[in-house]
Order: sequence, then C-alpha cells, then structure tokens
Amino acid sequence: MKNLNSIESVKIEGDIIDWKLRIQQLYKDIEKWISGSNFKYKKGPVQIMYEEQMYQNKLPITELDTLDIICDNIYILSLKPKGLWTLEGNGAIDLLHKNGNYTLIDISKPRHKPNWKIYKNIDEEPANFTKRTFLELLH
Amino acid sequence: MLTFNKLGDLYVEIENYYAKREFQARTKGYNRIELDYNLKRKNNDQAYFLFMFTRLEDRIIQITDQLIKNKCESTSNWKKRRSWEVLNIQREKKTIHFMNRVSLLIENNNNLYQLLASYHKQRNIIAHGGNFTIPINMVHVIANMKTLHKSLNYN
Repeated sequence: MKNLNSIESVKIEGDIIDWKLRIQQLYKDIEKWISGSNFKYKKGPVQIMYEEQMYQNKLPITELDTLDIICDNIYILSLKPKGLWTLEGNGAIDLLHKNGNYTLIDISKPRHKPNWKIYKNIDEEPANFTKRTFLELLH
Repeated sequence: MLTFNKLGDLYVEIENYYAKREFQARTKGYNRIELDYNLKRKNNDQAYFLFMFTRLEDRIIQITDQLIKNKCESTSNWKKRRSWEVLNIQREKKTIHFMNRVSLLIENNNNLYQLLASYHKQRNIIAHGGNFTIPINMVHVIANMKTLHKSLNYN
C-alpha cells in the first residue's frame, strides 16, 4: 500500500511540474505576442497551489506564477491559475479584467500538448487561444 | 421554476461582479481583498453548480419515473415486465440510486454517463461539506448541463 501511495505521489508531483511548465509556456507566448506593442507584462504576486490530490498524497504547498498585462500604467488583464484538477478540463486560468472574467481551459488530455480554449461567454462556443484572440481581449 | 438559461445568466452576473472587484483589488495591491473576492467566486461556483445540478437531477427523476411507469403499463409479457415492476416498487419507495436512474437513459460506457457521474460525485462532495472541492469551470459546465437537460429522454 505504501508503494502504491508513493507511486501516486510521484505521478501527482509530475502533474504539478507539467502544470507549471504549461503555465510558463503560455506566459512566454503572451510575452512574445505583445512584444513591440504598447502593452507590457509584469509578473504578479505568486499564487498558492494546494489542491485535494496534494493534500491526500501529503505533498507540500507550492507556488504558481501570475501575470499582469499593463498599458500606460493601467492594468488591462491579470492571468491567475484557477486550478489543475478542475471539473472540466486539464487545468484552468482566470483572465480577470475591468468588466469581469474570461476563463482559459486546457482541454487536452493530461500530459499531452496543451490545447487552450478561451471561454468568454456561456452562450458562445469557446475559441482557440491564439495571438489574435488574445490581442482582441486587450482592445 | 427558473430555467437553465436564467440560472446561467444569474451566475454570470454574480461571477463578473466579484471578478471585477477582485481585479480592482489586485490593481491597487490590496492582496487580502483580492483573496476575499477570489474565495467568494469559488463559493459562487459551488452554489450555482449545486443549484443547476438539482434542476438536472429533477429532470432525470421525472423522465425515469415516466419510463418505468410506461414500461409497466405497456408490457403485457410478465417475463419482460418483471424487472420493471421491481423498479416500479423502488420508484414508489424513492429508493432508486441516482446513477442507476442515469443508467436507464444512457449506456455506462457513454461519455455523457461519465460526465454525469463526475458531476454527481462533485455534487455530493459540495452538499456534504468536504474539506476540498475541486475548482469548477462553470462556463463549460453550464453549457454541458444545458445540453444534457435538453437531450435526455427515454426514447
């Protein structure tokens, strides 16, 4: 039983590392998309990650990066990871803005290449999260 | 009774109200207020998830009750009717497990069955106050619940 638990812990740790890498890559893409524009990015305060699987497997709290998009000293958008083991999706990130929130959901299977979709409205089909869809959010 | 569309709209209104304030607090560096609104949003997700799931639950109970009654009334061959009669007794005593009702409508290996099973599990965790509840992507869940609500029938 102890071995099974440690196998599960290793898997969960791997999932967390994978989640952090997916977030890092997403932020890098965004930084690239806005380079040369009036928009600037800034790392926001780190966010605590402590989800049920971590608690059950006695894994410690960890930290996740957040990202703010700013234009002329005005905050336009803040990206904050919502959770890895979410109901629906393989991880989700909040995109907070002055009028509310959009949700980014990775609909890929665990440990697969990320497939980010942006959910802006409950009556709209989610769109692929690309440079174009991202820049549209900023204007 | 509030429709799924109306519930979805109410959810979005509250979600955006809290999200706006969370964002404002973040831009001013008010970390505690930011955290407070983030928690309110999570609670709102759970409340509306539960609210909407109960609507879906009611619909599934209604449809399966009707299915069982119809089968009992329309099946003359006792050998074909007997299992429905057992279910009918359970229906009257309200002892049919929810996921068994779902099995009367959808095959167990179907994705929709798995989806409903995961929603039902989450509903029980929220309703019985577990220490942890997984984050719910409500925009996705609302769309799925609307589809399920429309598409479930006993044909």
